[in-house]
Amino acid sequence: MVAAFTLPVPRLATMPPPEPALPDIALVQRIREGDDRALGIVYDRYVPVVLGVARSITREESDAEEVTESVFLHLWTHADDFDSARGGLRTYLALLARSRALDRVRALRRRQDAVERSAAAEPEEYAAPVSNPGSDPEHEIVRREVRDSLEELMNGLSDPQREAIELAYFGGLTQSEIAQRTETPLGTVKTRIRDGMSKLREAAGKEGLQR
Amino acid sequence: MTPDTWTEMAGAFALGTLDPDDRRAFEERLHVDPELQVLVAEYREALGVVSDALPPAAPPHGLRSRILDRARSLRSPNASTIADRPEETEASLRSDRPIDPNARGTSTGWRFATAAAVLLSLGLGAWAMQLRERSAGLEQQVVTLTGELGQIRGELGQAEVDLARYDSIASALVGTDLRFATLQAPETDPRMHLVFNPEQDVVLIAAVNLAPAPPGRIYQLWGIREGEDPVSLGTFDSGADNVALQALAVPADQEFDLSAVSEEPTGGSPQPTTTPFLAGAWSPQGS
Repeated sequence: MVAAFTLPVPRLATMPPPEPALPDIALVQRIREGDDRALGIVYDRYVPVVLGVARSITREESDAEEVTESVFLHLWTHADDFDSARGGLRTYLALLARSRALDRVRALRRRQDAVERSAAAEPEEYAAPVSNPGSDPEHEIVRREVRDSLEELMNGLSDPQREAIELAYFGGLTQSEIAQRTETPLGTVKTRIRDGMSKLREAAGKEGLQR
Repeated sequence: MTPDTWTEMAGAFALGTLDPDDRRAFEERLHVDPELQVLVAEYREALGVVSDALPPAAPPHGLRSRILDRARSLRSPNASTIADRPEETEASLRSDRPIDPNARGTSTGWRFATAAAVLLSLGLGAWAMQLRERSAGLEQQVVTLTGELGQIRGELGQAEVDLARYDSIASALVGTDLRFATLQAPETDPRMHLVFNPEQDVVLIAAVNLAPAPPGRIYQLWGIREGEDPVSLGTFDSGADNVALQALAVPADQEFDLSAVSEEPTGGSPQPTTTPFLAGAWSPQGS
């Protein structure tokens, strides 16, 4: 008779609970101390939004990558510019990406021949460079993606409010430039932006409660 | 402007759409108005929601390493010299002290300052620990490198000795009146070839299949003139490869008919104390 025996069942080790992610403020402090690992972690955490913002404004992959690079290098060399009392790191990087992307687009625009934008130009034609016909399909793809992605967020805004904010956010236009572009009185543009931003602020406040 | 005006301008300022004159005026106001600062921060967070709503983009391969390489070449102005580490994970940054996940900045200044101070001390403590570990690692590397350096010095010294030896061997072969001898055992190996350079008073020995002398013993070469006592031409030994290659300085103005090798105590003997096991005749002078 073959003796039966039972293999001992190995005890599974208890999985330790996942460690909490390092807060952004700690990572920024490490960056101030020159720890490039912290920069790498910040990059991993926020490059999708930074690159996404850059891309939505420049609509050129290469320009978006350069903007992204400049954003993270700015954080590396000017970490003291970040003040958590003024907002989160994610927002800071996103706004920095927006600013750098707009700068880049403006610089490209200045180098182009003066293009007269007809009053009939579609509102979605922000400040995207037009002298690169080869990338027009790419621009169109990005424009559509951006419009679709903002659909729900901007749902609470009126069309004029949405138009004014989008021209400002993606085009970097001042209120006067928006008034000129849309052939709308300056006071009206100011009101649209004020009201539109108030609605976005409300939406952001609700979003914060849901997190 | 009235406070309501500043409040109304806050959203446009955060959006960056104020005309230049209005923006400058608002910035001046912002510096001295904490409530306005809070409002602007809230509008910026709202723009963050816009950013979040945008389609996220997957970064291209290589962008991360490009940025980090560039960052390493642009050391942060306030940074101390922290060496690169291969592990870029959050786990490698953690200290063994728990980080309070609730210690995050808030819109209230003093709470932020307290939390920041706590996290700052934790960060510095963790950094100090990492420095200590790094220092210990570097010390070990120094010890290892010192040992390797010593070994290299030893090998270099041996190489210098070998070079000098080969120089003497080569120079022994330079001459116009060289004499040759082949010593061998009666019926078995080893075999030894000799070259005598009378101009330099040097005998070059080259032996094969000659096992090293036993401990406390040495091989000794003799020059023998017929009817006279053997004259010591020097001592030598073979290497682990059973090869002996050496130049011996011999007494000047000596002429020999034969040479022989015997095994002697270390340091040699005035006269052979054992029967030579290798022997051979020199070629005549002038041949």
